[in-house]
Amino acid sequence: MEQHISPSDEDTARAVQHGDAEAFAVLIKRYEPKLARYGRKFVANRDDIDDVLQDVFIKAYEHIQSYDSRRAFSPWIYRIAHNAFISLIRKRTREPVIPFDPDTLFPHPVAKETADGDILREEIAQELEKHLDTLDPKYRAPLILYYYEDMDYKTIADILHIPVSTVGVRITRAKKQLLAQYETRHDTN
Amino acid sequence: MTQTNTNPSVTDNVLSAIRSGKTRMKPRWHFVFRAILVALGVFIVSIGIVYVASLIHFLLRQNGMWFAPDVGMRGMGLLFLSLPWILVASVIVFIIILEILVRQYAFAYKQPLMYSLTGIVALAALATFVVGHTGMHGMMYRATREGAFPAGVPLYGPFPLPKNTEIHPGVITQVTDASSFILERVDGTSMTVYITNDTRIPKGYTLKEDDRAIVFGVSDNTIIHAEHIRPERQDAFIPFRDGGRHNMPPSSKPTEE
Repeated sequence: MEQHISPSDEDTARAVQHGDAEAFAVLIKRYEPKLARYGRKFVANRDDIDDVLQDVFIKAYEHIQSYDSRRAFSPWIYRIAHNAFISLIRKRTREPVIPFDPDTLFPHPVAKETADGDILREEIAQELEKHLDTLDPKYRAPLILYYYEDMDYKTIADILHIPVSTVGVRITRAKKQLLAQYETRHDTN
Repeated sequence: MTQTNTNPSVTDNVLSAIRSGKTRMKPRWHFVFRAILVALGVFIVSIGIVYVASLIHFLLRQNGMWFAPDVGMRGMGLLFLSLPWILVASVIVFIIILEILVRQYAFAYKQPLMYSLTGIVALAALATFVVGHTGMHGMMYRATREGAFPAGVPLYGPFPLPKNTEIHPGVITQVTDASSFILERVDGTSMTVYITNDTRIPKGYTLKEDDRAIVFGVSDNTIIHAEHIRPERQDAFIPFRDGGRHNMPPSSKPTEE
């Protein structure tokens, strides 16, 4: 029986680079649900998410020649999407852009990624879902990518353009913030 | 984790924009050109850092302030006060620009900021040290003084010897007696230096004509009461007479004290 193996993201992106515009539809189909799920953690309105995603894919197509097909495609497109969602949040909250993040200034010891077991990880993800919107986007993004998109620290670092050790620091701080909020709510109740 | 279905409107809108030609792929050369521009920016800013940092070093050596810390905390204070702050600020701005430019590269953004900043500062210090030993600024200084390099006048022309300083670099032109000598300072002015029992002179050093030296001490018009005399290498600074003063444009001639 002949087995049909669909081409990898990287091969598909390479085909687009060589002029196969229809191959881009494959990439949209693969990434639209993932990026929409990622966007929903930042923006509540479905129409806004669709608008951003449309811009993301158009930008991705326009810039596809800047993608290095020897590297993974996923961090490349997630980075475009991340920047687009953050830019939308900033526009709405009028948050200033800080060129240097203090978290990236000094080296931090890299926390173990496998500290949470699979079941615990899923439980944490479910619990996080309820309170994510209370977190600063700076801490929200690595948490979402780690717990919801199942990415490792290195890939997250590639998407956010921050050191791997900073990814660990942000995830730890985000969890601490959420835990503090959780405890405050329970004490009040 | 649940996967949502593809929203047909997003897919359709993007594909129709591509098919209609409304959205076009930017050519590869566009990104190559941009990468070249960034690399060129890194190169030019690096050159800027090394040039300005080595110029600061040259100017501080010329006016003797580089050697001021030798006399202790007071000298450190004098060095700090006489730093060319505009040039120092330029170096800091260049370093920030370079940091922003290199952070576009994975090797930089994957590391803590402190690492890339330390790397930039260390490389700049090393390059400044190397450039300082090529005598490049000395050549430009001489060329400016000889009138062969008019563009250098703002930097090398009006010699920036700090006023009311206690540091006097120069050439011993005449040893008058055991307790005094004439020093032609780097700005061309001649001063009589008085030595007392309290004046510190390196053991075994005998003052000789044409020696280069830095005299630390309070000056009063044409007299310096030496507290400390330090002989210097021939290339420590360029005396005024060696710099060629005769062809200087009148506007850039330093004022004689």
